[in-house]
Amino acid sequence: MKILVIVIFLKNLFAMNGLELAKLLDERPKPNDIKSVNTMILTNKDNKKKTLELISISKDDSKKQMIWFLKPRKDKGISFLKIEKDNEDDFMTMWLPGFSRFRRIKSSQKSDSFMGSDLSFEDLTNRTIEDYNYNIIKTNEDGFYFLESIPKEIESEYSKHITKIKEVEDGIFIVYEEDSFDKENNLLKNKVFNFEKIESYYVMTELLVKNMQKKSSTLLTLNEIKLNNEFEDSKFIQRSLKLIPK
Amino acid sequence: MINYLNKLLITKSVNSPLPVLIVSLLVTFFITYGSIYVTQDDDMTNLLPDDIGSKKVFEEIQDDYGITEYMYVAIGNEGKNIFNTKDLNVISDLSNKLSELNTVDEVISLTTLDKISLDPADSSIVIDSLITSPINDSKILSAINYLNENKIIKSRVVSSSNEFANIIVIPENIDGVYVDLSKDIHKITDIYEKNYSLFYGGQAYVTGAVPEMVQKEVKILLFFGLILMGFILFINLRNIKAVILILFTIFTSLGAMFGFMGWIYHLTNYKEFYFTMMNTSMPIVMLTIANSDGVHVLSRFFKEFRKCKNKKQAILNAMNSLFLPIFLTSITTSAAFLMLLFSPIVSLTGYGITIAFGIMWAWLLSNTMLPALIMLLSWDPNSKAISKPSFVEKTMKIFGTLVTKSPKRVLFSGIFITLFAIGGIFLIKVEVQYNKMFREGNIIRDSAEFLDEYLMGNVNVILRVTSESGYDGLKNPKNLKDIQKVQNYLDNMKNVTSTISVNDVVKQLHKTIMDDNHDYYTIPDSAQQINNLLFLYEMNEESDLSSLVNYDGNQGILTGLMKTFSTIEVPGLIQDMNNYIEQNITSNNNDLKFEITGMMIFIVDFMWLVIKSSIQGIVLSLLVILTISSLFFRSWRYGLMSIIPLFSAIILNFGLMGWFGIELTHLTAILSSIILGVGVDFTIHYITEFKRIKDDKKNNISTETIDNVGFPIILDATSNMAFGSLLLSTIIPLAHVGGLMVFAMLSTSIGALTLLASALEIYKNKMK
Repeated sequence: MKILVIVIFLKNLFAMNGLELAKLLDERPKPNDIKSVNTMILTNKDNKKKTLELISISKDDSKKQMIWFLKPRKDKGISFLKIEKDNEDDFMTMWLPGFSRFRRIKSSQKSDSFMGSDLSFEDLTNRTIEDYNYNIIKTNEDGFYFLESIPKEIESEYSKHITKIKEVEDGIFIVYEEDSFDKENNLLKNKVFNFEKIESYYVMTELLVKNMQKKSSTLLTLNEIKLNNEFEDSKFIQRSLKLIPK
Repeated sequence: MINYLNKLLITKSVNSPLPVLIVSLLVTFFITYGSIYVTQDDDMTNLLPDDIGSKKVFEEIQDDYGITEYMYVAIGNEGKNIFNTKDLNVISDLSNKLSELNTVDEVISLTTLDKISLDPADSSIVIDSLITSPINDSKILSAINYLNENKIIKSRVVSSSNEFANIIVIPENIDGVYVDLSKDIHKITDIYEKNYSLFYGGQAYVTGAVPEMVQKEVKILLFFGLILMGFILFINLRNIKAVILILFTIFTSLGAMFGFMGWIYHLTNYKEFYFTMMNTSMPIVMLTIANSDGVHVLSRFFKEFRKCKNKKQAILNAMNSLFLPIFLTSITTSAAFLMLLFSPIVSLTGYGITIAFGIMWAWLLSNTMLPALIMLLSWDPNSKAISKPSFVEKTMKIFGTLVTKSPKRVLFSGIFITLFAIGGIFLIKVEVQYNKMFREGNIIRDSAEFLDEYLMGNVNVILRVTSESGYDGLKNPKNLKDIQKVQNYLDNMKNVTSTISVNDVVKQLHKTIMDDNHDYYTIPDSAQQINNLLFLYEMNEESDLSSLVNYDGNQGILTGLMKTFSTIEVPGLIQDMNNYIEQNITSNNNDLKFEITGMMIFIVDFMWLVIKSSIQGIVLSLLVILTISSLFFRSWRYGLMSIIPLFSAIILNFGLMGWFGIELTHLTAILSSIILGVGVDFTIHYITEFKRIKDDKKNNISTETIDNVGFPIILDATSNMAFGSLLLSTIIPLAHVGGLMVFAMLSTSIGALTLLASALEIYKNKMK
């Protein structure tokens, strides 16, 4: 009995805290850039489906990202650029080929839907570690951690997230699932992630987002993934949006 | 069989009155207990059969696009501009509270309205609420500028004088939402009534609020009607015990009827046994019929008691001569109401069965409980009420002589009046213009008139547009431009105040993306541009095209907000729209299909259904009465005679409505049931008595018949006229029911005592 008490005491003494887990998650080795051809299947509450196909290139853990729409045909050529900036508003813009015009998207509109999906711009943006308070609310026998992240004083559509995380390799933690709650603390979205090891990196290959309130869902699948393409920063500019990459 | 039943019931009631009374009361109490299971359903849309075209399209629209019938709350003060921080905060507060209701899907007001605009700072397109909290002077100014530049949008949320704000409440698509929401709204707005004038309207509000209003008024006015009925009975019968016995029979029958309805619903869960707005007339019908049984029994008992001075013998004599006619009237009336089983209106089938049961229960009580009670009570044979005939009884004697002396003159006078009435039938108007259904001062009428005059009106017409070319077919420029043509046509119609379609969003976005240039408030010429605009719009969290276009983009709705107008104009309006669409759109563009609907339109369909159902009911009921009477009297001639006064009374009733401009509504249409129910009672009592006297080979058959049944017929009719109290209703069709009720009683009773009496007198030798 005494031995058991000592083991529990030591385990608690050396257990990592929420912030440490969040940092470990953030520090997972990532490629410099990724190019992929993605499909996005949107399903509404009546189970009607829409399929989008798009090319995505991103750099610096998706802090810079460009997306070109290929399908449906009617939306072909619409493209999107996002550049996250420290200590200032993110830059987001869209290219509308029908009007040959760029249109800015305000960063205050982060709760807006990304291309009509269940993902918001906020969902696509990396969380800055310092902007949240973290707390490990439980662990289970299968080695999963449940990390609660509560936004501090940032503008967010969420009141908190509860993320299910596991250490897949020594010191490498990846996300399996996440529940996000709205400002009234009601479950708004459930996200289920699938990571695959490509080259030496764990890369997200599938994401299923369910909007629990709208009863809709979005399945994002990443195909033809190419890592470390050596994209220059100069590629991530408005002008690049006009041409769909091959 | 009938004789056996007669003997069994009457003998038992007279020889063992107390056990009969106890058993009948216990069974009646048990049945009445079922009243606790009576379930109310005030949603008028549930009354309609599902296969009505306009309802089918309407329901599909509600499922695909959410509720399209709105409730409006107008708030403000005359002479005071609403654009100030205090008032806008109140509007914001009110809008938020309304949004939080489970019965509300969306609230559109000055503070929640989506504004599509260009941010001059970085040229980004912003879709946000028109005025966000905290409200300040600069936000108000910016909102005023935006609204002044977008007059159509402004007209939806503010009165032209800026004195009143309009809050549009879109109900959640759930069962019974109109009724619940119309109550919920008042709970929220109550606190603002002290400082603001508030008006409520919209077809959804009226649909939700009217059933309860009708039921409340019916309850109050029926109560007064019953007091008046008791008074009339007392004046004529001059005996309080007799009046109490009649009223007691009425109440026990009424209780058993509602109890039956409750039990059946409880045991079967059939929605046919919901208590709906249509069932509001049930107590009136039941009261008149149960009153008739009681009046006949008591007045006949007095007459017999006067003759033989022996209570028991008087009851036996009265019941023996009344058993057949009361049984026959109950059977025919029940059968007539059972014809409602063929009605296309769901609740009317339950209505028919319930009333039929109530009538037969009233018959049973009149043959068991009532004679038992008469037997148990003491009656003074020397009292004025019993020993001396009343004024009406004496008058009947004189009238009987007149019919015997000049039967042809009486008959032809009756026929002439009936023929005159036929002309009026062609003048009948079918009308459900809601604000005209209420007297001035009624909240619905006042609010409807206010909304018509200062805001968007109260009713909607909806056009569902479908592209035959499938996925996203609606969004090509040609189709959108053709929809715009129809929208422009609607905008120019005299009662249309505003129109809403996906084109409004497309045009506004087009203008905004082209740097707010008004020249671009148009549908773009290329499909790619339209798709780009809608793509941009759908990205916004606040955006919701689902109420305008379906998910597949091949169907959408165009809504015309309208001032209240007469339903008489509806068919013409639909015809005009269809003609325009055919000549200007579908002749050049066979990809688009337009379907017109809206609650206003299917209410008109509902009206016609009620009327068709009433006509079908009248014909079937007359056939049933003819058949049953022929069988019981064993003569088709008597069968034919039994329906002549009924037929004439119905013609007189509807003819009078036409001549006096009383509109036919679902409320006034029910009068045909009352006319048949009460009228058949009069004719069968008359014919039975006539036949009995004729079979006894007596002289002066008509004089004696009128002497015997004239008084109860007149008493029954005059006491039922007490429901003329409905004339005081603030709901005009209900007041019409009251007035017509008085007339129906006159026409049926006089019809029986003139047309029927003179016809029988003329053809008495041919009657076999």
